[in-house]
Amino acid sequence: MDSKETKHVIPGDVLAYAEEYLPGKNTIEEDSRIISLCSGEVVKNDKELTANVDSKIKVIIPRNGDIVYGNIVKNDSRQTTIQIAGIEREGQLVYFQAEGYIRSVHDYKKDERNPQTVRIGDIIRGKVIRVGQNLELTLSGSNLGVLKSRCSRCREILVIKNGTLFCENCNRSELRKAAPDYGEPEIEKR
Amino acid sequence: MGTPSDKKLINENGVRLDGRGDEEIRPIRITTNVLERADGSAFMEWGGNKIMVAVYGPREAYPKHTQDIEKSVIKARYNMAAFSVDERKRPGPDRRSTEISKVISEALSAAVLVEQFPRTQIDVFIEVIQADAGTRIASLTAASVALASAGIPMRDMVVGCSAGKVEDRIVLDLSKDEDNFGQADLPMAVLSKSKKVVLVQMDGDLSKEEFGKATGMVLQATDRIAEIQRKALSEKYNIENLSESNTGGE
Repeated sequence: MDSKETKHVIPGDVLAYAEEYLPGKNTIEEDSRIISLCSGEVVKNDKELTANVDSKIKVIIPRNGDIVYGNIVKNDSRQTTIQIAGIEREGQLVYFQAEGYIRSVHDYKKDERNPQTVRIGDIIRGKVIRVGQNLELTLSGSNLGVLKSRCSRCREILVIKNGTLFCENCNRSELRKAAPDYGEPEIEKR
Repeated sequence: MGTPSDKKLINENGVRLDGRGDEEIRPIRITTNVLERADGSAFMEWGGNKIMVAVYGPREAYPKHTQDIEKSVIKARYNMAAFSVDERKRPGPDRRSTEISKVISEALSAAVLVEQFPRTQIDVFIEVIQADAGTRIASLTAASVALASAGIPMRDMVVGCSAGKVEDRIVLDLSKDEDNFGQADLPMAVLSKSKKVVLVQMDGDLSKEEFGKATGMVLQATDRIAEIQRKALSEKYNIENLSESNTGGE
């Protein structure tokens, strides 16, 4: 049973004494007093006897299976590093910063002469497969892959032509693991 | 302290150049969450000071050798805009801004629960847009509000004020002329509730009694400034609540 007080507290405010309540969310006990750790509204749970502060700040915690967006910042034979800039939440793109990596890029190899299926600067849509210190991503999936890419020779934006990515400036095609909505990604921004 | 001057900083009625009494502080206004892309931000006007603070994090500390396996590292960067002072300031870090960044980082580390976020950094970017004496204390006070608006857990708010000696009188919150031509300047910051001192620096000379009087005045002033911090955070919170309830009703 939560009782929400209309009282607004800031860090350092005393919510209750340790004899009355236990420290709950966003609170700590110091010198037998329950102290607020953030700015928000006081919520006292009289069933569990905890004093909490509702800060209304939503913290995004990535989980396995989450779809993330980012750009490739480093690419070598062992690992590709991605600077993640957004995450999908309830079908909408939410600002989120983290670093991710794709381990076995060679899984996407199709052409031995041009093994790189992602290149530095590519904007990708990936799926989180492991949450650790950094996020491990994968591009294996029908809706995953490169969303926007530039020609590695002239930096012109590549377009889809006959199912492959093509540079209209150099008249040459490049290999990427492109997403089906390459060029016009279907993203709803929040 | 600047060079001695013939300028009369306090008149015969005990009134200072800007019309304040000894224990009066300049008008303070704090606005929170002014930047959309920062995790937390604050804009502070303290007299003629105009300071913008943006907080990002906690996020993984880079370069990796700066990581602490036991706690988060607060990286404050104090920067004065080239146009913030009368004579153009050469842009970029200098000895003064490096020192102020360091003392602000240390003062904030005393308030933030750094041990909750090992291997991370919390970036605090402080941009002084207009300077009018007491910028380090104003920056620290605004940074504390920005951290709270970012939802970073803190034991207490950091609040500060400066005192000094002008024409042999101890006065609170020195203005630019008092700072330049006064006899001493004592910026001091404390944790709002516990009154633990997190920053104290001194320029010039004060006797033991004068030091005691100055710190007493600062401690009293911090209560008033803490109320302004609280108001700034509550106002934003009420506005957010109001807009949420409006959307909910549609």
